[in-house]
Amino acid sequence: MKKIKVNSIDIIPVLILVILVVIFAILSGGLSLSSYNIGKLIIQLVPIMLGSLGVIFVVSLGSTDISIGANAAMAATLAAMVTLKTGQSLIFFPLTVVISSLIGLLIGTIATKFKVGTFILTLAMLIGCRGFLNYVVSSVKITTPKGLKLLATTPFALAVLIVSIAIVYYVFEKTKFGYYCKCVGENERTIRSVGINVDKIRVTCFVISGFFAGVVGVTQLCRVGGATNTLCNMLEMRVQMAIFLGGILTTGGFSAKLYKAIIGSITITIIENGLTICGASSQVSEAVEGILLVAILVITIYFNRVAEKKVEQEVVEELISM
Amino acid sequence: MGEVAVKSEGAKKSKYVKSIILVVCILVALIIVNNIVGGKLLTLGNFRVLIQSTTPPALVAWGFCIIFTGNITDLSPGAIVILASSVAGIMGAKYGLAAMLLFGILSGMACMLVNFTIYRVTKVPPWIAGLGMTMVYEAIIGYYGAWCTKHGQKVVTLTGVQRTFGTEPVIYIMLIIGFVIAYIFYNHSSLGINFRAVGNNEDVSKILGVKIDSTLILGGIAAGFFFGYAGAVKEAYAGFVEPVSGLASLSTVFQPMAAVLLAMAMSNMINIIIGVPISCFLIMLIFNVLTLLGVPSGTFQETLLGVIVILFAILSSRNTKGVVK
Amino acid sequence: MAEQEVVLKIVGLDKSFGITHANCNIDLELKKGEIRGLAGENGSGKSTLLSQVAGLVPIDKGELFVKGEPYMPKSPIEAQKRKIAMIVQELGMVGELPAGVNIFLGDMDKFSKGPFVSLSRFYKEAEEIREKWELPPLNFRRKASSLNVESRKMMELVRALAVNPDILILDEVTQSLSQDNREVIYKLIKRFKAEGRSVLMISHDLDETLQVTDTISVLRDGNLIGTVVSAETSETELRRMMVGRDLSGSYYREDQKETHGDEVALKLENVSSEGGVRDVNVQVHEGEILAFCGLSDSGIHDIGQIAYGLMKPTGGQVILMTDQGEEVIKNPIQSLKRQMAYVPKDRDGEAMMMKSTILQNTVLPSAENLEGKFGYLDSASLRAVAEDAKNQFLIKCTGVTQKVNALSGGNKQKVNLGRWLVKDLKVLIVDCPTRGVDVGVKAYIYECLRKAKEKGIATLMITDELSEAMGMADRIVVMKNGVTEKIISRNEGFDEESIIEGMI
Repeated sequence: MKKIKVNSIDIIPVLILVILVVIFAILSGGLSLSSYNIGKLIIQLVPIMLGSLGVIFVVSLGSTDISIGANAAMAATLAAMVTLKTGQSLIFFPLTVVISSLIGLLIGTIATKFKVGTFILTLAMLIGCRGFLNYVVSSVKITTPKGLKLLATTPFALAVLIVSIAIVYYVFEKTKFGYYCKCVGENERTIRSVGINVDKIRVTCFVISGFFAGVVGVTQLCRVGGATNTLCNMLEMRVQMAIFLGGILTTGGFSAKLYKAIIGSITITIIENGLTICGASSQVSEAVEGILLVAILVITIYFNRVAEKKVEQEVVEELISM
Repeated sequence: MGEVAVKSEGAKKSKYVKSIILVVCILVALIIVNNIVGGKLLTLGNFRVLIQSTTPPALVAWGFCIIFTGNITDLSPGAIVILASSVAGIMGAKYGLAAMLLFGILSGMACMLVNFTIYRVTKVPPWIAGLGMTMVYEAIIGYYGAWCTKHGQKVVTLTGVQRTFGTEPVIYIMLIIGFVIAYIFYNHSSLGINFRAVGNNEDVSKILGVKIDSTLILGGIAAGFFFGYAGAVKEAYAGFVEPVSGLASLSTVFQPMAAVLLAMAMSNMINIIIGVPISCFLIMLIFNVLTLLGVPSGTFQETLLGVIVILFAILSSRNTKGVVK
Repeated sequence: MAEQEVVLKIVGLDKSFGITHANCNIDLELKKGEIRGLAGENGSGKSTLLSQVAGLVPIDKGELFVKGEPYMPKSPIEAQKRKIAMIVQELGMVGELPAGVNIFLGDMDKFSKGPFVSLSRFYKEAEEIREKWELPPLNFRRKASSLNVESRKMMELVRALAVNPDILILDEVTQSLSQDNREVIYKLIKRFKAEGRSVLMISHDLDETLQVTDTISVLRDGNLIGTVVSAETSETELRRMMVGRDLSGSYYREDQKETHGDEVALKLENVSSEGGVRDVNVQVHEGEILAFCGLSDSGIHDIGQIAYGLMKPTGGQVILMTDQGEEVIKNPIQSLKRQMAYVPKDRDGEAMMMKSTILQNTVLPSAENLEGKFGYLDSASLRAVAEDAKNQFLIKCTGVTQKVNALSGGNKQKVNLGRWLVKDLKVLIVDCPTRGVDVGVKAYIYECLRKAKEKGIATLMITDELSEAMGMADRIVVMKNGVTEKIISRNEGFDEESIIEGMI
């Protein structure tokens, strides 16, 4: 019988999720578990989870991408502009993801060619794109192209989500590419000295991240009904929080597992949803999110170190007795 | 040994030539642009406004300088400055100018102390912990703003004499004082030198006998001094400060950060402490030009800032060896 | 002359790093004015021993006495208070700060008025120290990172001398110095002796050690084998003590002739590098073990990187001979595809993903070959490769899912080497194959290299262990300052003297 080894660290995010569900259920007097709320939860969940499907590749490298919200908004807005001009609604979806992937390509190329830290780089992209978006939105009115009501519906979003999860699961967990990504996060020097093209891997990861940003942009623009300058606002931060809440380390590597990103996405959605349902003011929400982010990371890092020490200790004892 | 000396002679000469060329280029560009905007750029009045508006970001940038030297990327100073502004305003309105400055500085230092303690104790990467703390500080400010709204008031607004620190000529004095303190700290204090050592190479510094934790935390507090100081000056200059939320304070740190990155790229030629206000001024100048050309604020300025940051980050990463994530 | 007093006494010093037993119960006495050399192969525990004396590494077990008083330093500052200063092997300066500031970093209190310091006082004091000890002119105002290796070492010497040490510890200092500066060090040591101060020094240059020291302590595999009087011993005897066995016998190779195919597998043509390698021309044949020997700044380690395509040569090319003819190697991605292998010297930092499992590390070079349709990596075949390596190389572990950082140095090296040898290779480039590895595993690795040779793999072995090169190579390329000094064939018989002469 195959024993499935479960690490104590991996359990913690699940535990925290369960605890949070219970807490909010109590605090909201059961409202959080109503079918209406669950429906809302799912709607809120989709963009975060889609975003994390892309960002997990970047995080596994040990890098960051905090531009996806701005990327999503800008790509969708530009694509909508073109779509409205040409009147061909069908090109909206593909055009958005093409633009967003190109932005990802740009980021990845600058990061690898010029050795610029991805945090500062994607932060600059964020601010730059938002500025540009402000300009576009203030001068042109952009609405959802005709005939794309379908893209705004929940079943469509869910379908896209499930298909995406299946594909990403395969690529990230089962292919050579996914394995290489995690190796880069573990020790980039190692994988370079073996003779593997780390630059190509990094650029590809940013393109993937850009791609999924585009997908999110499509669903959000259609849902909201048009382009605004707060479209997909703060999406990147929430996706980052989701990834860390799931127990993935900032250094990525083999700690990056898809199920963790999924759990983390659910966790942060529950937190935001729960805070709203309990009527917390936006200040309290923000403070709680900030504190939780730091607290969860502290716990994850702490338990990781404890687990490492324990394994080392066991092994020393075993080898001495060999 | 002789080889090294000869190389530095040649290098010094070319550095000199490079800086002269750079200055000339800037002057020429200024004159051209001045013509384009119909002579509105190169007036004394415009320049006075420019220098005044450079002061708060320059003060923040000096604080960032310290943080970056410590090899730490923490973006919460945006929220910290706003928080310090509010505290300075409240205290200033009640107890006068001295209290304004004092409490502004203290709140800046307190926030940074919290931040740096978290980094050292929990080992959470500073950029993430910084994001978390930004949210907390924004929430605190927002709470105050909401409290004001509930009680039918506006957030604290300063008038008349309360705004001394932000008006001519006092504001120039504030800038100069900030510069002097920054210069002495960075170049002539044992804490400044230790902090630079730790930021550059923590392991070697430890071997050489530098106490890492206390140096980092005290250095953080020093940076906090500047953020608090900047907050007080900003409150005086603008009269009041709006609360922000949703991590919007991040965009307020961009300008100082860009200035520091530019100063770092120039650090071979000019001491970074001197480079900082110069860079701030240059950026302000560019924004000023854009505004004079009719570009609405909050749009292309931001884009340009993003481009500047990327460009300067590229410039200052030019000689990085090893792995960059 | 009365019997000199004991200035440092070490009793039962024992230190382990996880599984590695670096120092085994060492007793040592150092007298006033005594110049003691420490000799031993890589991994014998010399640096660990001295690092503990200097307060750089915490002492777990054992007692130390300085001038009769108990001594248990918790930091280098405490060691300095007891007048013990060490110059470490790696560069010990903060690049961003001026060298003069580095010298007094951590001890700036005596120069400061409150929180402020005057840098000019640093420079003045450093200059006074330089003059006092008759060192060559130095520019203390320069940023440490702008100085070359040699100047930095001299700055570190000033720093050590600033402490006014009774015991000066030098760890491989002369290695990076030109002859002029070495003379400065020798003169300094003589002066120390005359003034009743002591020196503990590690040097790989046995000839130098014999000339400069009064006595030499030899370490092997963590144990202190013995202490001999320098004037009464010879290099051969030192080597015998260091290695502990005769060079012939099945440890290395039995035969004394070059044995390999005639076909050339890899060519380095006029290769030059940014780091100082100049015009290197060598060819490695199928089934040949070609050893590169030299000091750490001779460029031998760069050769390995260039040969695998990890470092771009500034001149010349690396040519791989394939079935289709000659192919210029431009990057490591090519090398990997063409069945080349590179085993880096920096095992923990470069070769291994320390926090990952044996399995995850072992399959890395093979992933390209194991890839299925749409990039699929079948976990069963991955595991098979890992198990294969574990069995073939007798890796002592609890299983292939054990994390690599829990293994001993020798077993880590088995993973490092084994992950490549499970593949079908044409060229093997290995840098310091037995560094930090205990004797038993060393023998095993040599056997692996012999087997690879039999298979016809062309091996480029880079090593700073002379005995290893002499034991295993068909030909030895001796390098100094980036240039090939000589190429000796096994047929001629390897002469230690002439090899060392070429190295220094």
